[in-house]
Amino acid sequence: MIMPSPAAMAEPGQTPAPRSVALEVDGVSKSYGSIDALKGVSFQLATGRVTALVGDNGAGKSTLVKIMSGVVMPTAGSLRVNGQPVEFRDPRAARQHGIHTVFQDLGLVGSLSIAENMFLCTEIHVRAMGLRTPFLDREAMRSAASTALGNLGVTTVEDIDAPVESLSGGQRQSVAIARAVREQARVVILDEPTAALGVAQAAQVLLLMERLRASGTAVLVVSHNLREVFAVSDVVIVLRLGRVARIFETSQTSEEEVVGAIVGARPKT
Amino acid sequence: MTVSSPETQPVPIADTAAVGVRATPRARRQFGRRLESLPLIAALALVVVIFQVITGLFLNPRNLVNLLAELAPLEFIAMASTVMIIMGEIDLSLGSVSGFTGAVLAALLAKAGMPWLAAVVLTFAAGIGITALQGIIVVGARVRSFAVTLAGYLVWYGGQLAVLGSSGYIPLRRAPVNELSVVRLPEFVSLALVALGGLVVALLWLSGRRRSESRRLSGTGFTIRACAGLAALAALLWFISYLERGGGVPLVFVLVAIVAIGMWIMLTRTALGRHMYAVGGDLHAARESGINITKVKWTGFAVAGALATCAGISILSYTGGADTSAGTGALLLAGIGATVVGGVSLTGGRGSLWGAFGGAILLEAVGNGLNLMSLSFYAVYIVEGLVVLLALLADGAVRRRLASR
Repeated sequence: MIMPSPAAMAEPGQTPAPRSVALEVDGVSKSYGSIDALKGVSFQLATGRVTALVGDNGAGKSTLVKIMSGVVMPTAGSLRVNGQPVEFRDPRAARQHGIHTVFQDLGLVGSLSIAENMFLCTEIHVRAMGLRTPFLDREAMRSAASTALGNLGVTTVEDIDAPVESLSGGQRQSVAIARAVREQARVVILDEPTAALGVAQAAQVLLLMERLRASGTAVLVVSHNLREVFAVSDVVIVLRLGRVARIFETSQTSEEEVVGAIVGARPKT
Repeated sequence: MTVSSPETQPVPIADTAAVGVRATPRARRQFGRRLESLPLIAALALVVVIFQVITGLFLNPRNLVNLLAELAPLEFIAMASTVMIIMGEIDLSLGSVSGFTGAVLAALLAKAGMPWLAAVVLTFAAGIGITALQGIIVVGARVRSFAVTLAGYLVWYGGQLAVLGSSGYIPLRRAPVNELSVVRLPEFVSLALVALGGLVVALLWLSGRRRSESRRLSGTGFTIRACAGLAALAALLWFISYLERGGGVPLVFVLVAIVAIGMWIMLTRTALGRHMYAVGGDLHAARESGINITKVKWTGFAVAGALATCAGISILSYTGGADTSAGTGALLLAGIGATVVGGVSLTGGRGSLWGAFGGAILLEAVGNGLNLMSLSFYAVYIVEGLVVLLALLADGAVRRRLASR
């Protein structure tokens, strides 16, 4: 049975594990015909840090997320996990390397329950005489799903069998993130996690990011909302015209400086 | 706790520390789900009362035994349609495939003189092969199942006519195929089967509750459910004794029930079944979750083919021969109608096998009652169509009511 990593149980404020590079993007380029969507993009995602990826429309953010999550393959360059080059031919391969992406549409099936969604494609089966049977161990999945949500501070689940479509946007986001945590993700990529949410629900998601960071997970968040970026991130990567324009330590920059990098303003000399 | 940033207002998140997934409470949701089956149960009760009052024969045990024996083809096609519709697909060839496979089996047994087991295996291979081939075209060439299976509907009806030859009929008098619809189980066997089934269900239920922290083996809810289960079992045992006066439970209906239980387990208790719901419910999310869409859909097509073959064999058994009218479009459309009447959503991803099972019983009961009234066959079609429409309207009204609660 897959259980959440012990690290996932850490609370915000606790001393995080020593940082290491969880994922390295090295000289990644992607071309669609004559259009270069990405040109030699390089950066690292560290464990226990929230990295924000920002940029104007068409800067290449979506393409980069698709490459890191295994939806598309890069034209050139490589990804490295634990220093080893990896090749993701599909999202499943990325997940097997501990890289989970929560897309804007969340990838949840509305008509299935919370527990079923959290175990979709990673189901727990009943075992008999040491052998795996084709039958689902629904109780074990319910219990593990509740535990995963509880570890993220999602404590008021009244019905783990409720269909996801009965939840609010923020609650669905919580389920999608808890799914990644349950599968012991080293890297969680959140694509515009608060774009469709109200203020209170967006705050819930920011709290979940805090908890992921505290658990030692490397978090990459794609966002247009600079207020949230500054609220939650440690590092800001600015993409512009398919290249990394600047990388900022959040605590040592300002919104003005980041906006300047997004629109291509020259720094004052 | 607040998360602050330079030059920005702090984002208050202290009051959201318990990130609340406040889902619909379990009891309320389960009650709502039970109410969803109310229109079907009410319609069935209404049909029974109306036909009993008009004809005085509907509840006669002999008629009920006949009804159960006639039910098999429609139940098999309804189950096949349920699998397809849950996956967000449709198979318009199921009726033709059942007619074709029935004709093939009749030809293998009556004309080629093949041993029955080999003939049945070959027939299943043909039925599964046909729908699996259509599935490959649908998922491989990315053509809509509606178009592929519409072509299949014509192709396999042509195949059925070709196998039957110029006479259009192959009589069959060979055990055990003929006996499927003829044989009635001895009362003690039926009672033992139901008692055994009840015992298995009770043990599984108790085992599930013992493992669940939220559902203890005590309390009012437990007592009510246990009493309801015992009452249902007692009613079923009494019903079997009642059917005995009409000859006993037909063997073919027992096979239908066994296949239905197997299909229900597959759909609700295995990863394959849940993946079928996921694929039909949200194809994009299913793909992002890592489900092998091609494999799931292809398997679903093959399962539907096996069920259509079961329908073909049961028609052959009931009529004692294969002819050109077996497994027509009327059977297919009644099967789809039963599925929809049973609450399976045409948009995919929702619905239960037992709903479709009940829908088939409703339509067959209507047909049976109208036959008892000696109405002509076209009147039967008209009334069946109206019943489907009324059931859908009632179902839609109840669902809208539940959704607005």
